[in-house]
Amino acid sequence: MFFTKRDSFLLITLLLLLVVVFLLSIGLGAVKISLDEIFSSFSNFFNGNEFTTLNERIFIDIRLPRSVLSILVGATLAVGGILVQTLFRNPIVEPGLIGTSSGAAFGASFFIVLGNTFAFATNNISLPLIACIGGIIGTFLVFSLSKINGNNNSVTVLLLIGVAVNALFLSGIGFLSYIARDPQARSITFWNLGTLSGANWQAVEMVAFFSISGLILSYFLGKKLNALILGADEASYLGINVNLLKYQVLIINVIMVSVATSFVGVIGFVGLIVPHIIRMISGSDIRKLIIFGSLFGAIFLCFADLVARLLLSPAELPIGIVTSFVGVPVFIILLRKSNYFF
Amino acid sequence: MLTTKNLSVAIANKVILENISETFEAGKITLIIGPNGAGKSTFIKSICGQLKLNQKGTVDYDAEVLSISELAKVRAVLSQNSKLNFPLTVRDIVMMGRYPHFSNYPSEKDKRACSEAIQFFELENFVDRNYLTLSGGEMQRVHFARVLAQIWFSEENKTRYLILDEPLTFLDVHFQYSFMYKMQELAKENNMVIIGVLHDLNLTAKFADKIMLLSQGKVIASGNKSEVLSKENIVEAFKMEPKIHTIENEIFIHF
Repeated sequence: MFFTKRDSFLLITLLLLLVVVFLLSIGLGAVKISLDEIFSSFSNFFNGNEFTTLNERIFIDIRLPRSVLSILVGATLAVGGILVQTLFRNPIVEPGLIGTSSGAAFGASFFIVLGNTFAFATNNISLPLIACIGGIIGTFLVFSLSKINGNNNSVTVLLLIGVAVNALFLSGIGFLSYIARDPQARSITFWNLGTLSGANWQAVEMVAFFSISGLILSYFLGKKLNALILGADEASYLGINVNLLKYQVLIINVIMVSVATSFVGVIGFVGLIVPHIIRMISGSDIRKLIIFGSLFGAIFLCFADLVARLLLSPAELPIGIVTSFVGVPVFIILLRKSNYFF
Repeated sequence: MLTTKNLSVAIANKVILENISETFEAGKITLIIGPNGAGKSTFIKSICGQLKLNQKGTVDYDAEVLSISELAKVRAVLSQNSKLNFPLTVRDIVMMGRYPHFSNYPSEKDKRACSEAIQFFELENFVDRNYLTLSGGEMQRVHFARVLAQIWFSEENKTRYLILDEPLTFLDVHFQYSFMYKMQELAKENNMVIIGVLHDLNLTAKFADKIMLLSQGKVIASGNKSEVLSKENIVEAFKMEPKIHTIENEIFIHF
């Protein structure tokens, strides 16, 4: 990959923006935390001392994991979008269209409403676990149904099946909300629009492990994925085992996105918008897209979470409302302005 | 040399190609003609290993068994319609042709192959253009450059193969002829095996060293142009009576 001057400039800009947004995100919120408190909480934390103030505790146990999680999830969703768009050679695909998000949402709703009824041994990762399984089942349902007579069908068939399976899960979620008690229905709504309020270090560890390994693996598949832009036959004429590549990308994507979604709920549009905005700036080379896209996704989600926390402070908005409300107009304006052709 | 033996293809119980045994020699252009639905593209896909599950018989590249990654270093294929849905520069697309030759970063040799292939097809003024803004003919020439960059240098003096499915689509008369003259030059000077599907019978007559006429999945005739382009063969394949003129050893056909 050649990093042009423009690319280096973009990289530095994105890194600086990420630092700024991250600092704002850990500083601002319902409780304002000063720089001094941030430093003292770090020194207490690393020296194994007790926290001296409530703010220090809030910072280490709530604020910091939340900001870190927003960055990880943003990067994951953006790269998930890049991967599936490339895999299907189709610019309108995002993980939400191939059953991953709706499957996860159904799993989560199921657990929220019926978890107690079935007396699952619950702890704080039961919900993410079931959501993650839902996401994986949703994706594989879409893929196996779109195979007819053992042949891989066209992208159009796959997307239509995706739309149908999504509708099925949505009606399931609708039914569950209908039979749910009020607080449960509210949890379902919140989960379906995404929220980072449940962030804790355990979530950060899980998401970090799967996201970072997923990001690294996808980067190394970058060159092969570039060839796939030309088409499956063309890629195989370039010496690539296309079927193997498809499975690798799918598995990386579904695990990475399902795990991220399972902790924060369904956050729409990031996987669709971020890849396109980055493509407008840096072109379609997958390796560049993965680097810049993960940074931009991280910035975008961290910023959106900040807005979600501050707008109605001390109450919180679901983050999906913010990503769509801010992201969609920006996206449309950019699309109409740029000479970005399909 | 590329050899097929008793090559048959059936997809969903429908026989598309039947018992094709042909040889394609190095240094020669073999052109495949035939009516729509004759199985020309299927034949191309089949010799390129895309239909392994549906085919019987054998396809041999110089009697060696090569893995797909080894094959990609000596064989390049131009598909009928390479469609792209994402913006890429012409330079990036041509560089994709070198993918089989490097693992992470292109070498100087790869860069040289690209720029020479770009020059060969007169695309110097397009290198930084977004592919999606090009005209149909320009897009086609970008794919020529990509495909040729792939086999620009010979690997340990192995035979190189260039397989072209309807390369002349979208091209104006100037580029149709200049492309065919370039293929002639490549076949002779680099001893390549060149196989192409063409629709224009006059271009076929002018440039083919060997012609293979396909109809309904079978080879009606194959050999040199005066053998294949006979009145009977053309009537059988295209269901039309041709007028054939031979002037100074060149064959001209119209209907």
